[in-house]
Amino acid sequence: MRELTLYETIFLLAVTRQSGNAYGVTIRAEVARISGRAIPYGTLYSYLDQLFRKGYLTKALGSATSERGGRSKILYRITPEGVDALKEAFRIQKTVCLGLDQFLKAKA
Amino acid sequence: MKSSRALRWLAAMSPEGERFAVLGDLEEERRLCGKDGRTPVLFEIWCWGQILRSLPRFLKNCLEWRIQMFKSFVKIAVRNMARHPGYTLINILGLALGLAGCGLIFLFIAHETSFDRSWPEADRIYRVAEEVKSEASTRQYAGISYPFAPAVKSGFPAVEDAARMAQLGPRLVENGEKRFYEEGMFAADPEIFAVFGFPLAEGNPETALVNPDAAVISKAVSAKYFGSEPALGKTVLLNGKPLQITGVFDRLPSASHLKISWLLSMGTIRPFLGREMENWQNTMANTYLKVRPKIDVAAFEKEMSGLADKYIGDRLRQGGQTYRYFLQPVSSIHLESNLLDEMEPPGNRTLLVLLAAAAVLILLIAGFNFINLSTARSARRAREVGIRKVVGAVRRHLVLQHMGESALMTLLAAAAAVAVTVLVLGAFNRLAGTDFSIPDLLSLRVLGFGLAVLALTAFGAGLYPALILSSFKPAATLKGSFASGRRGAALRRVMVVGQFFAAALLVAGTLMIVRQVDFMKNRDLGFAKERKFFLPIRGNSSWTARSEEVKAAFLKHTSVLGAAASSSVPGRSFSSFNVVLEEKGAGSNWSMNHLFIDAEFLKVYDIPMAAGRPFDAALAADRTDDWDEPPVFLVNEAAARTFGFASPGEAVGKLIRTGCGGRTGTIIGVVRDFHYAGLQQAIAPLVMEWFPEMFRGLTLSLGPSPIGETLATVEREWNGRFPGLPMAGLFLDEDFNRQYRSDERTLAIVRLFSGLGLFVACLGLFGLSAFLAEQKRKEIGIRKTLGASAAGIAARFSGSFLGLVLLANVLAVPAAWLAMNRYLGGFAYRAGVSAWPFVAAAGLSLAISFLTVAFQSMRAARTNPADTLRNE
Repeated sequence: MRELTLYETIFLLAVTRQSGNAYGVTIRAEVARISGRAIPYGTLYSYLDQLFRKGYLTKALGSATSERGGRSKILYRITPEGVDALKEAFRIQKTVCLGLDQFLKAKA
Repeated sequence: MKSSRALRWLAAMSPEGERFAVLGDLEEERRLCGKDGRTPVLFEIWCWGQILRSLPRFLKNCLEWRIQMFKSFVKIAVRNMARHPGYTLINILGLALGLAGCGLIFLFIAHETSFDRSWPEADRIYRVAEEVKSEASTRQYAGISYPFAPAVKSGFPAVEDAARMAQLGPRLVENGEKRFYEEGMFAADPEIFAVFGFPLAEGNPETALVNPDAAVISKAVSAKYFGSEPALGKTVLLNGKPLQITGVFDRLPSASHLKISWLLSMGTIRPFLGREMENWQNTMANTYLKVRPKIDVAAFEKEMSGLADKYIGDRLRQGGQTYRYFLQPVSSIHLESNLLDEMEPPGNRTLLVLLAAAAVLILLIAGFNFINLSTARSARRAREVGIRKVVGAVRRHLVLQHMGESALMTLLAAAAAVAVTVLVLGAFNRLAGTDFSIPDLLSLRVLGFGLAVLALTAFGAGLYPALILSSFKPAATLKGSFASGRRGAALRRVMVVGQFFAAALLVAGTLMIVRQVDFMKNRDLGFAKERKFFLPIRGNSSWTARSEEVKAAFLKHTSVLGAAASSSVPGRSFSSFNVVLEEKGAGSNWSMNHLFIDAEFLKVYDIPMAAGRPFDAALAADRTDDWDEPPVFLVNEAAARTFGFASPGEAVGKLIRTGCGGRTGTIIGVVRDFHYAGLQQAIAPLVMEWFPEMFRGLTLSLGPSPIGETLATVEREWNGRFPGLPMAGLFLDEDFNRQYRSDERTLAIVRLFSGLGLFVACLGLFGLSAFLAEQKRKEIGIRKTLGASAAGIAARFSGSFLGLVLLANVLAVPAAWLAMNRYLGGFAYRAGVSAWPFVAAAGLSLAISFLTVAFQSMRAARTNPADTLRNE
């Protein structure tokens, strides 16, 4: 299993935090909240597509509402492989950060 | 609702399956904006911002896949090339040679067509030429009379500047120990700098050519006489008279009909011209005009064409002559103008046409090679094409792939062609008499041409194989029952015929030019040209009075068999004057070449008489000693015919008046026609007079003793006679053949390119036969086991190719015949079109192609059938 990139981690995280209502608008808002950077719509789905092709996400057609101009959502859900990948990423991050706050505090 | 363009673009940037979702998301965003109170315009701007910010990743994504495919294509192409190095080499070598040949031809044509275009505002510079019409003849002269330029300048506001230039013969220039006969000398008006717009590196163009005995010289001449010292203000001796250097100019464009090294002021030559400066009827001054911008040139030309009538109208009407002036754009002179008294031999238009044709033919041959080898090899690629199709390649991609391969091949060939061109540039320069350097190869014109040819070749040669290859049915190719190499077999045959047709055309053409040049060099000229040593005597005018004494001094050496003094010798230029036959009156008027000879000349040159008697050394009356003495003349048969006499005998005893001094005298004899000019021209009328004052040199007839010793003797005698004058003798036969230099140059160039064409064609045939031999390995193996001999197989195999080559040669006969008739039309004396060049060309290409094919088929036929058949 390959390690997740930072952006992949953020995207997976954003999907898990939407509890079943993870689609374009909500994922984008969450990613923006976490990373502080709004992904433009032109590339948003190519990130999601990449995670889908790696098997970390599943896609399902959602409902079509009038406020979407009659177009359905694509709802994303994390797969067990995605969860494993997140776990691994979390472990690495934790290791990386071990003692970092003390060090930075001492520097400050 | 209808989505805006920005929305559609944003959606299009996402993967195909997700586009509707993007649109939905955006609709949601729009509504969110609405609640925030943002206007639709702001939303639109926001969308564009999104597009802009998505671009980097979007571009990276789409290019990535293109690059992947491209890499795959390149890898396959390179592997294919590496696996069949022989074919690759033949293909690339053929194309490279073809391209290099084409490139050189283009360079040459570009050079020849660029003559006199690089003067500033060259489109406003014209030369004035004249047409002299009388009842008997119409003649067009490159030079006109001296009074014309001032008259046209003062009479026509359209003329901005007018300048005259007179070409001078070689003169002796001395600066201390440095003594040379200088060529490229002109006398010119000061306006020459304004007309041609060339600056002086040193000196003032306004005043440099105003005073007599002043000269402006080129940097090269300055270096020759003064080394690194400044030449300005220095004095040299010109034919013994002081001449001040008043200016130095940089190198002038080499692509010009004016090859100027020295410009003398008109005042320097005025004493020699005398009344000719006011004479409207000579043709000594080349006159150049710069017209004002945006004038109606045609109207101006019409107005000034009859200028002579205004000044000498009465005299012209009396003489039954009309003078018409016309303009020649200076850039057209080199290739389009071939008038009398041109300053340098005009460019050879026929050669350019021949070369352009050769370039096209060579490129075709090389392109056909490429097509033939690619389609013949198609079977090897069939499986790859099949697999690609099975995994989803569409035809467009396959066509692109194979076009790309041919482009790659062409590119490699182009690199090789550049290398070849750079390597042979020096040799080509010597051959073609040009001076191209490597930076010339980088000019915009050459690069543009190169790119165009490359694109054309890559496309032209790549399209057909690409279409063939991409059309294969995957099922057929993968099952293995694919009929290999059958595809395009008919076309291949057509192309082999086409190639050898082109090669035969080139070879037959070359052989015909060889014949013509040989013919001209070996034809009996009507005089003895062997072992004649001509000594021009310049810079000492007093010798003519003592010419008999000088001759005797040389004759006392036993190795000198004869000596004759004359104004010129065959192969050199002759002066021409108007001649009137007295019995027909002033209305009969011809311009005829004049040669001034002594009584020995005809004997030394072994020129027989057709009627009358030659000059007699014992008769003082035959010799003209001054301008008031009545002369006697000899003429040649052509002159007698021109006068209207049916036989030479009728001309004897008739009175003629010559424009050379306006003197009248009797014709005492007619000499047989002899070729005093090259065989390109018909023998022109010639008038001869024994007039020592006009002598300019001595012809010595040398005996059979070793030439080195004889020359040493002659030089010792010369140095005793003419101390301080360098001896500049020349052998008449060599000097005479100098007139064929341009034809020999044509020959050398055409020979090179026809050799190249034949070689490339054979290269292709070699590759093709090698391939087919390999393909028929099994057939050959079976034939051998059934008892066929190696020779029989080779013959059977070669036969089909040789048939094609023969057919090509037969087809080439009429085309070559037509082309050669046109080329030979430029010669007054022709070798005549005979069958042997065709036979020789056919023989040559048959022999070479037989060797090529036989080599391959013998190799195939020699193999042990067990080797080819066992893995069945």
